[in-house]
Amino acid sequence: MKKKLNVILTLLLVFVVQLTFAQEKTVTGTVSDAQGVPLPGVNVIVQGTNNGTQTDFDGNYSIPTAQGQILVFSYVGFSTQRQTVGAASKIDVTLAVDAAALDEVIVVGYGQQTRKSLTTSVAKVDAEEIQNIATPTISGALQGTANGLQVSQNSGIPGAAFSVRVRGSSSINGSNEPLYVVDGVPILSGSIGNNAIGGQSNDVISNLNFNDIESIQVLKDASSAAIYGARGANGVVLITTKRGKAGKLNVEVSSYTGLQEEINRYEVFTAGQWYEFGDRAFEDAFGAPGMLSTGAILGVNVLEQQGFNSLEELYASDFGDNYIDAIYKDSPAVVRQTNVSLSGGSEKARFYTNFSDFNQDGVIYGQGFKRRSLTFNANFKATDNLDIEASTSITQSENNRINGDNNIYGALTTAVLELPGNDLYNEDGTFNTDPFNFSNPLQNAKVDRNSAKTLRMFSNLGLRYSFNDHLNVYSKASLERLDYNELTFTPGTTRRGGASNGDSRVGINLINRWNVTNTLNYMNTYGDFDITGLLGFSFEGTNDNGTVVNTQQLPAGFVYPTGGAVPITAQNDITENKVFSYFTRLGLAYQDKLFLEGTLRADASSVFGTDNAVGYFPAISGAYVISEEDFMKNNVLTSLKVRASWGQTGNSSGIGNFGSRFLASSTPYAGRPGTAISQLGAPDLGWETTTQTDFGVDLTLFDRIDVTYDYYIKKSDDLLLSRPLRNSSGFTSVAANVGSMENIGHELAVNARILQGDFSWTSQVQLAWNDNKITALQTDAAGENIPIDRGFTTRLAVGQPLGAFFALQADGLWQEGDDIPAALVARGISPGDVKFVDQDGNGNIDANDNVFVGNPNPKLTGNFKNTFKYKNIDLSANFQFEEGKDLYNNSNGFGGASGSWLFNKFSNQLNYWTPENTDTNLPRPRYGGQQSYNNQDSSRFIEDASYIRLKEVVLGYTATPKLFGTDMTLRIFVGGDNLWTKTDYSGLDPEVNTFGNDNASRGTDFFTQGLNKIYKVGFNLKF
Amino acid sequence: MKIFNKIILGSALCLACSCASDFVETTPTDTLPGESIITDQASAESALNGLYSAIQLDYNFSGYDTMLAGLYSDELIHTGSFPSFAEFSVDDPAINNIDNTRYWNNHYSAIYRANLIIKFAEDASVGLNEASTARIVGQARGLRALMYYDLVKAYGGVPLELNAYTAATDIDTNPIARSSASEVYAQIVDDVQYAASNIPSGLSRFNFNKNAALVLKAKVEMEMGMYPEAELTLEPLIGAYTLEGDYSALYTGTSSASETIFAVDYNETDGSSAAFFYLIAGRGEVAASDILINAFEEGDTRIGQISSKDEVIKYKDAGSGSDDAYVFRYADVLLMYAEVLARQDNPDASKYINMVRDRAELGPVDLTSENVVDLIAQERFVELYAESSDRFHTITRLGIADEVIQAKAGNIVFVEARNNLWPIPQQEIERNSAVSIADQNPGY
Repeated sequence: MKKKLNVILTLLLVFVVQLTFAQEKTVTGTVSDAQGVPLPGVNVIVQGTNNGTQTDFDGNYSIPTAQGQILVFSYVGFSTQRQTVGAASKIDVTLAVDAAALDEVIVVGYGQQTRKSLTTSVAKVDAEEIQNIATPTISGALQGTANGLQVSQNSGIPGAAFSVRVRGSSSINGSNEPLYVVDGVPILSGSIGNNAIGGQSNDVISNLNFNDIESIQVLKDASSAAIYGARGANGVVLITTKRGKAGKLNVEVSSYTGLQEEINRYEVFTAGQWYEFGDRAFEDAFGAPGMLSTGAILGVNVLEQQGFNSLEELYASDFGDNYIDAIYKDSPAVVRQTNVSLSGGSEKARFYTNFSDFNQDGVIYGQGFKRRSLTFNANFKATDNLDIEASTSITQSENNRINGDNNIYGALTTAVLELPGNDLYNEDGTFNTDPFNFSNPLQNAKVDRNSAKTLRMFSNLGLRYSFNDHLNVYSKASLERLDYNELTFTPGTTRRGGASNGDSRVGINLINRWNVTNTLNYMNTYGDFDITGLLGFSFEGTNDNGTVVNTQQLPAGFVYPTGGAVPITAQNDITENKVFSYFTRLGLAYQDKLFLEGTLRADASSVFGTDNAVGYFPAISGAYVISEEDFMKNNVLTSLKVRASWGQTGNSSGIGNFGSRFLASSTPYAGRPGTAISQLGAPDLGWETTTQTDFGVDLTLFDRIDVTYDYYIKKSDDLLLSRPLRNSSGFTSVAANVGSMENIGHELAVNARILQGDFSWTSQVQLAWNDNKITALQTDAAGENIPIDRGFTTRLAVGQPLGAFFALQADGLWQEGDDIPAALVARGISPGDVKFVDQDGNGNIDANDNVFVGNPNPKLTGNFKNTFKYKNIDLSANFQFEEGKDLYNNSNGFGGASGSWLFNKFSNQLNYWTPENTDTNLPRPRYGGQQSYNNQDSSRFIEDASYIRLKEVVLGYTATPKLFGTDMTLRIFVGGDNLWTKTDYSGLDPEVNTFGNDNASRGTDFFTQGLNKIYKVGFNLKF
Repeated sequence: MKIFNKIILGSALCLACSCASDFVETTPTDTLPGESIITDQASAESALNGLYSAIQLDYNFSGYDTMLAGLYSDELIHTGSFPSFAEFSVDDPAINNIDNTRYWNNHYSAIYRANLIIKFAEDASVGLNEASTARIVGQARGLRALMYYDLVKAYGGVPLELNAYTAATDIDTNPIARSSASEVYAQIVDDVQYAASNIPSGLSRFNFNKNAALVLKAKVEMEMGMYPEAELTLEPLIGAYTLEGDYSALYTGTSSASETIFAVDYNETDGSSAAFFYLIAGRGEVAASDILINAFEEGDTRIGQISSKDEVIKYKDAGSGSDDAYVFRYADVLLMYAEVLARQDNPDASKYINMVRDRAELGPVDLTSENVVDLIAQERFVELYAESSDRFHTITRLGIADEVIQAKAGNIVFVEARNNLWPIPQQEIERNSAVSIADQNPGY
């Protein structure tokens, strides 16, 4: 393979030298719209070549060409026009508005195409659609804007990671997140650092300033993504940054400020209600009333201490601080962004520069995200044949987080669960710690500290040398550097830090990524045929130099690891991976209506096992624009295109840098250096392969309604799993490529320009259905698939969707008079306890009665967006929804009626069963074995988490004032994010996910912080 | 122009032809190639420490061992939230109980490391001299015996793995059936004999030293009712150690220099899980049972290691887990010696049990062959609670486990057929083609 490519490359290069050059002339002209207004930024290219320019601010262009060649004028939103160059050297052009946007430029892997010639499935999002969404993370902006993507925010913590799924999940142990590519260069993504704070992981992508983004394309089918080979299986997000345009200096200033408020806040029992619940549980177990209230359990007689005369009086009362209200900030948390950019230049040299400042406070104390970034890029036309582009951006960010989620030191977790009735502060102003079971919730929010500072630099340099109009070489080198410095500090004054007398940990990661890509691009027209060709190779590598220093027994006042404190960890490790790749693409177009394309990529990666060194990823696709045929010309179906594609992509993320090696690790014995075999070798380990077939139709009705429909079948094989080994061998597993999974789905997008003119109304509906199923897992000796249990109740099994919940089926409660099976009576089960379904009919409830009770994957995701414009006023509203997904609300395993008496309970659990209140599904207060029995993982905790949410609503007014003698465009707007949510889910937010980064145990809520409502006001000023 | 063409052509060809496999070579910095684990004296010493590091694992001596054994017997009650612990507390671990599986896995991890040392240290190419081989292999075999002793006590006969495979495919092609309990004991005796006669004297209390080998040997002999042999085995230890004057001096985080025969070393950077789980300042997952608390005689100072909130406070450092874990200490040896003497109607028996009682500020008892089971069970209970799984090991050895477990409060599940053994983990049955469901312990 490699040899063949070498030969082709050489031949092509030799061929170049023999090409002759046509007689050149320069054509100039003006491009304007139907009203005669000049259009700046129109692309003017010589057909079949890479020779092109753009119109300046006054719509003028100038381009070297030759008689007989065809000039193509294209501009987003307008029909493309072709003009054959004749004797005249001035060609003025009027462009008509084109609703169908078939000539829209679509960025694809290592190149670009027009929407019309596209044979694959690519979603596009323009910058204007997302620029004012109040989130720091680009993935957040894709939510409800790009069809076929399921984007969910794992929690409402500022800077928290999003999970992005392009057409469902395709891996169990690898990443399911798409590859992010900025200006042709794959960048770092995912989370980084230690994050040992129980809460939500961060996201490196949050270091991208998305004000620099011109457009985002998402490669969804295998045929478009196959050119990214072993990293393309999860789809590819191609990000194109803004560039300067020739003409006058453009200045753009934009800013918004928003106030945030959590969409939902937990409510819990009053102190009195909690004591009543506990008293009932203990009375049930031991027969005596008021045991919790009078000190038999906790050693504190609250009844006396609080001066109540009777238990009833105590139960009706409330005392102590409200922990939940305490951890939320008193005043609304602010989110704001300011952004200034300057761009401009001449035909020879163009530049773009941007400064941006983003700041988001958390609604809970101790949280916040700040980012500042600078970008500069420039394009030079060094000679007629040589174009140079250079760009650099630097981003600084700081992310402050506190413990959260599945963590007994989490602020929100303890605010719900801690013993009610206590004061948060002592009289002397210090935090009260003694009475709490685990920790003081407010102290958790205000005192524990996790602060991650990131500095990210991204520079690249590109050279395009055009041998002639048909052939050019493009060479790009890029360097990415990310410095990550995370401090986790637990002071000695807290319960958690008390034992170690203060614990401070600093983790530093210095990550270098480098990439060199060289491509040879060819395009030409032969009669009715247009041919494009691409040949390329790339080297890239990622090197992560990680240092961890952890000390305890810190002197008072010290925050960082310091000399003299007791060192716990001090280590440095360098890990790296490298990939070397060849790739090629050949495109063929016939009469601008039949399109055919094939790609092939070969990846050699350092992470593959030695027996599996190179992976090949082929793809083929075609499209037929039927509406170009004379017999199809009509006024109803004004445009019609059908597409089909097939391809293979890979996913090597699950292997780990050294996952296939036979390794020995350092395992000391209390300070004495030691070693042990830590991993058996897996020399046959390779990438996971996803094979995807896609059928698509793009059509336009009445020139007004664009419809895009895709159907896909996506099969993933060779999934990386732990192949179990006989435990008595000393090892329990070794990595192997064994599993399979499939996703089958449909995507439908409708864009309708319902009204046009002074009052315009456009409406967009995007719908994506996906059906995920595991089709193979590791089999045992008898050939049976071995299910894999993850998270709390997640079980991976053949025939089930990834992440399905496996637990007991609850069927209400046992009531008086019910015939409770003897085996359960023997376990103390009585009326008011949970009635589980005895699936195996053995008369008892045990692990054999578990069944699949829920699916965290939505059946349908989508959005519905309407935009209205009347003269200078615009109004848009975007609803986002997920339908048919379940959440495992594990919070109820603690704060629910079946949770231990020890924990406080949610107010919505107050209707628990008592002999007087039997018409309920919430079990009676219990203690000991019966409490554990009722609290078993079951369908009681599975909830329908379908929702519809008003993702963003914006009302804007655009004015064109003349200030200081300059024409300006000023848009002011007010709007809101997440203002309205409709769901039956009883937790804080149906969108969250405790195990954000885990593929398998998705859809679990464990005191995960919900999202915020944001009310914002801002402006964009351009001149 | 031409020059530029040439540069591009030249560099493109040059890069395209460079060998991809060389280019993508990487080297880890925090691991070594597995092949180089034991190649010389120094690396063999490191591998031996690596074996001790496995002895430190959660379910070996890091606390989970004593908690599971303590919950299963009558020492501890479950006060936390782990359902898998709850199953042990009611004596009903499911066949897929995660702690039971990990207990099994942790012990076999250590056995693998021991096997690897035994396999390679004697390889001539490693070049160990005779003395080093005896010292290193002696400890490896002693620790392997210790691990198998824990396993045979919990499960009865287990697969007797004596090999260390370095390729996964070799594991697949070499399944191992369950051996009988007596075969396992025979292997333990064989290993302990070797250890006792090869380990040089002078090793520290943090190593499996010669005397540790003798204690383990005596335990196995007592298990088999070979009391005269056990007496002989223990004899050299009597007088070789001294009890701490004060019981509480044993639990300061660092194991006693005078009383310890063998303890697993833990420190701030390499801590145990015990204190975090025993103490309310940590998770408070278990607490002393009423049966244990009521077992202390009036005035017994040893109750001082149970707090007013019923926490066992033998392990103090919930933050970093620096408390050492006793495997064998002199009080244990004295009680073993007292027992073997009493069993043989030797009147000196009382002297040794009373040495232990005296330290606890209790009056003497008269230990005879008549009351040996009751008095020894009682004394070991209050002396060695929450240490080295002793209560579980003792009640099963003395044949009183059935009554002890049935006397527990709460909804315990007592199934006589189980013989007070834990279930062979489901995973082992699924993954080891030589072990089938029919080989599961009865009653599960």
